[in-house]
Amino acid sequence: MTRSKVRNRSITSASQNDLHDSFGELYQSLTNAYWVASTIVDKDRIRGAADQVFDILTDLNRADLKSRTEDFAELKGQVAIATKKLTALQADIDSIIHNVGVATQVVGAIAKALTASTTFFG
Amino acid sequence: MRNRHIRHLARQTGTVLLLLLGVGCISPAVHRGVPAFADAVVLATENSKSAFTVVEQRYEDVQAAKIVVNYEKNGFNPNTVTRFLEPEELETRLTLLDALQRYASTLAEVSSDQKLDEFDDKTRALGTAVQALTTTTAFQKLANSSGTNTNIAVTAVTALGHWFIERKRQQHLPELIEQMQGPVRTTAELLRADIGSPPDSQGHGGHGLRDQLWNEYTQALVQQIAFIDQNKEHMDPISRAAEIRKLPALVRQRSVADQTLRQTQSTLNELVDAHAELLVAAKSKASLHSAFDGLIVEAQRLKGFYDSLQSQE
Repeated sequence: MTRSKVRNRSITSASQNDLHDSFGELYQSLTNAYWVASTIVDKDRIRGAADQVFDILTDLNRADLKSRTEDFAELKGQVAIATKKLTALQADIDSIIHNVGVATQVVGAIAKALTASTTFFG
Repeated sequence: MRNRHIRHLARQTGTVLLLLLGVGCISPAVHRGVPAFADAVVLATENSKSAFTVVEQRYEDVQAAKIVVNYEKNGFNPNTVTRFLEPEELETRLTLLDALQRYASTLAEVSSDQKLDEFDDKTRALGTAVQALTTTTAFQKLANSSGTNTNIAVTAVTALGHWFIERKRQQHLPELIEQMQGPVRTTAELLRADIGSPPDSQGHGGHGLRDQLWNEYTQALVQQIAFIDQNKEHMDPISRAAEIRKLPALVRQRSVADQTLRQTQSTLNELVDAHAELLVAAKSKASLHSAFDGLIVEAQRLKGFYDSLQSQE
């Protein structure tokens, strides 16, 4: 991530936070008014407004999460590279183990061949 | 003469074995610590996934509650049904969390004692095969050998194999774990930012999943009150009491759910620390302290809570 990209992002993020706080405060005021409203008409009116502000806050939270999606995608590549290197190391270790297994098979085959040759040639 | 030769050979082999086993081994603490770290990664990443799932489910519930209370006035329009997060946004995060789990599990496989045990099994089989070979009549005719020589040879092969395996780990694991310090730290930072913070009493400072979930619970309260107001005339006292009882329960759930998200952020912090400790242990052969155990216990507790939240739905 470049320095200017980081700076731009933090400026955007600061103004996004201000916007979020403004709507957050409004939502808080509306819901506080809702708890104490006494008539159904008042409650319905406040609820309608609170629903709208909730949708705006939801959009802002979505946008906040979306702003990091690219960074998540970049990281995936780095993690995959490290895992690939680990898998190569694992394959090296497995080949050491495999070689002993092959040696065992070879020794077994030699023993079998020698036993067979003894039967034929005494 | 022959016995003296065998004793000399055995002494030499013993010395070589001690040298081989003493050089180039990664700390036993790493062998034990890495599987614990892998378990902690699985739990912390699964809990992070659950945080997204819980917010999405609560969002769905709130939409349904809103449709119920507005049905008389607005009817139903399928276009009003939306998800909180677009599938591709979620998918990017889940793919990274899966990649992190794969990294941790591969690291555990590579560094576990299981590989050495597997190697020992193979050399044991080799020993048995060589022993069988030397007892055949044909071999006795071809060469003069004994069980003692065979055992020495197999022990040497085992020690050499251990040394090769440990050497490969010592050469590569610290470097790989070091390379991953940055990505693990950044992943945790991004996830912590995603989880965010709830609004304060003025409605300020909220963002991310915690803000969203807090507001979803508040919306659930608003819709529940509207539902009671609209239907209280048609409810018998018991049904009415049951609906009203849901209100304080929602207030309590809102706090508990928020605390769970907060603790998920904490386990992500601890995960970064644990990964850093793993690097220190891999480099210095120091022993890992029991932070892993605490991390796993906490992550398991959170997982239990997420499971209970999801089963309530």
